[in-house]
Amino acid sequence: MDAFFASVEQRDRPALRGRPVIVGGTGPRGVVSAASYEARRFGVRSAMPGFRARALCPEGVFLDGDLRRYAAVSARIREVFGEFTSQVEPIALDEAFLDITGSLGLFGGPRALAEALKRRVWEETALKVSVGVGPNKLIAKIACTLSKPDGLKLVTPDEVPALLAPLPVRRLWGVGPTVEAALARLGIHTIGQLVAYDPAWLTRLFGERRAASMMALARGEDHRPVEADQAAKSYGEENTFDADVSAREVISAALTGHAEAIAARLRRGGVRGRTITLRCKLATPRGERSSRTESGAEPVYPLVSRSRTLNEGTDDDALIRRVALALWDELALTEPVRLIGISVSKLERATGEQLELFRLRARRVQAPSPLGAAREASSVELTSMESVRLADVPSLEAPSDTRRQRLGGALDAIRERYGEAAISRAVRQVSKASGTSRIKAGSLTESGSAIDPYASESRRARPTEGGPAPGRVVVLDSEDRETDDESP
Amino acid sequence: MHVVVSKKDLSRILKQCQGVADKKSTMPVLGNVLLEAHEGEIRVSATDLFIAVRGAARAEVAQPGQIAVGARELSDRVDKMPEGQISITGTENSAITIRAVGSARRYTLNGIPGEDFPTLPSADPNAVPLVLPVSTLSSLIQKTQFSISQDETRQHLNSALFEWEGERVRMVTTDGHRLSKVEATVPGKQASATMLIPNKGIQQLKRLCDEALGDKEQPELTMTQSGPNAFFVLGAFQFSVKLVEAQFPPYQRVIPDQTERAIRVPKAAVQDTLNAMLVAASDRTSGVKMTVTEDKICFESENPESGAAFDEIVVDYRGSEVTVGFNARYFTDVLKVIDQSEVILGISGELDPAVLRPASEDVDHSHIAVVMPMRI
Repeated sequence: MDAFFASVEQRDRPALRGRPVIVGGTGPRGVVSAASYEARRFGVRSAMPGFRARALCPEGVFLDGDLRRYAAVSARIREVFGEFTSQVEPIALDEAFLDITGSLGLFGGPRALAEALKRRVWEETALKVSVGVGPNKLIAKIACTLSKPDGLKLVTPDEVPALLAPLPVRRLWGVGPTVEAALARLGIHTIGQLVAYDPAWLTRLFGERRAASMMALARGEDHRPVEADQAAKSYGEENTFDADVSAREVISAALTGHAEAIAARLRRGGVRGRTITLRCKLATPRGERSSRTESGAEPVYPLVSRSRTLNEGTDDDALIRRVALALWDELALTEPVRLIGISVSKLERATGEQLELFRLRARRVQAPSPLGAAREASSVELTSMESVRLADVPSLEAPSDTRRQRLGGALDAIRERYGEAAISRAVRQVSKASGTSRIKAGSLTESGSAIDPYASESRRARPTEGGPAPGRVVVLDSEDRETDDESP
Repeated sequence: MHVVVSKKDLSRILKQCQGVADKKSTMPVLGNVLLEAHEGEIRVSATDLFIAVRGAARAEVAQPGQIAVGARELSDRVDKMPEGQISITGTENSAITIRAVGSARRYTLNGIPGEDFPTLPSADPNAVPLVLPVSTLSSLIQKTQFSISQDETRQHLNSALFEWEGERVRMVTTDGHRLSKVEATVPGKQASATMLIPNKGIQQLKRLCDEALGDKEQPELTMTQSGPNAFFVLGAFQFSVKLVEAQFPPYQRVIPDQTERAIRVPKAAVQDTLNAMLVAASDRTSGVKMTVTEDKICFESENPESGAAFDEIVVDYRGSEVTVGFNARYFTDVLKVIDQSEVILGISGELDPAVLRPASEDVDHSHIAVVMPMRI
């Protein structure tokens, strides 16, 4: 999609049409998620720090963005894609690969299909989409990028070498700033130069596998299939703080939010994760690197991560939070961080779940002591909105095993009905510069440090969370009472 | 210090001490054993500050004294000595010389002064010792040990509950998914006691029981609860363990009084079938589906990656059908420790606890295992 978030905003708010609209980058440290073509004329690009965007485009309209609305539009677009082929591999909310090999005959060839696709998306969403058609994912992606905005570009296998030759090596997957710099030292700047270079030298420099795959891509060879219906491999949440943080309580509050969001998504997906990874970006930059999105250099903040694998998968936010916080304590950082995140991987279906012996039965709330009564009451306490009793929440009807699971289900149900902000744990709300919520699908490398070619594109702003709003419900947290599971 | 002791006796004691001495402890001294020679015996002690063991053997004490040396180091050296008598002599600078009597082989081994070794706890002399056949305790442990939680952060489950009520002794263990309860009668021995013995203590007690059972015909042990510790005397060994101060879960409530179905099953056949199903089951969950139906129980397991398995055994059952998923290892663990050829399998619903017990219960022993199902 072209400038997706910004286009959705311009579509829904006619006053914004023709004006430079920038989604994201509102906080002191936010990053631009999307910039309308009007804004791009000022040099604003996605993934650019907000302050730089504001400097370049002072009259721009800066919006927090509404991820839920974009996701709804994205789902609609994906349905349209489904009209053309079942082989759809979503990459981001606004990007997908379609394998049209099987449906070309139905639509009268690639150009006719691409035109129909553009038309259908426009009819359904009044949004413009750029389509690149090529013999493989790499070429299709490059064709698409070159065609923007509102473009359509077909590349036949014969045209591939001529198409690639003048492009910078950076366009290839796996070529980041480091590799780019290494290639530049050899005098290689374009893909054409790379193809012509002596493979033996590249092998010496980058190792056999890396050199071979780089050369293959440079020749336009890409054998990765379009993977439809991929199951998520990990769920992650992270945020950049408005100001550098080292206080444990702030970290803890941020981790609580991340753990809750991840747990809710795990439950929605019917999966549990075994590996919990904590990611931190240190506040003190070490060196600089050339920027991905604009000329000049950007500081490099070291990333530190640590993970732990549990014996059994979990979708319990309290446990995820506890592990993440323990990992934070283990890191024992001596300097503040600017970003913190959690990801949960090694996902497994939530079936085959071992039931607990000492579970609490949902309906028998017979408090044995005043303390017990207080505990029961604390699990769901609803104020200042219509009273929702435990028994009214549908997900509590089914037998469940621990109070935590019931709590998680109850929270999901409340949020489903009253919105994300309706209920939250009674922890301090962290003001976040930008939040990222991502699902990683496809081949995930074992170390969480996979080079994600879409990392910058999958970065999406979330509305900045403020303090408790009126009508908001707070759940008192009982997670640190270890004996909960066994209490009568 | 100068003492002469038989290699056999010394190795035996060292073997027990080595299970307790903790080389990886942050306190290096705990990797040692304390050797004490006096009044015709050598005593060897080890502790990790939670459990402590002391073994004694008859010895010729030419010169009394004490010294602490590495448990592992001493044991390795004693192992390499020829059978027969071993002489241990303290030298200057807290070292010992180990000699084989009648052989030229000898070692010197550096140690630390005996005074640096922590003092082992001792029971209040006024506390009343309880006497119990070693075989009884050994059997209680053997039949319940496997269901102790391995999670060391959950102390109340990482331990075994030992209770003495009238003439009945009882041991209960659970990891939150399954539970074992075994009771035995000790005729003529009235007492009342409740203690939560940590897993590590249970493991060491079992080793000491095995040792004592190999030793004598019908050995007995004494146990004394005193302060935060329990003290045991088994043959030549004294053992103490710091009890867990936590609340064991209310186990009585999760043992069903009765189940909707109670089926008499041949133990060996069920074991064999479960083991066969396990080959094809998911490694992580060991999940096996059991369907109880007219005259048979069907077993199924599957692993989305590799395939599936099916089997059935004939049983005497008439009644409604039910399908329940279980971690088959929870079953085989129980069956392994039931020493009868027939077992009663009690099953209610697919989310209710199942019960396993020996088919014929005698008055002096009772054994029940509860296993929670797996959601399928």
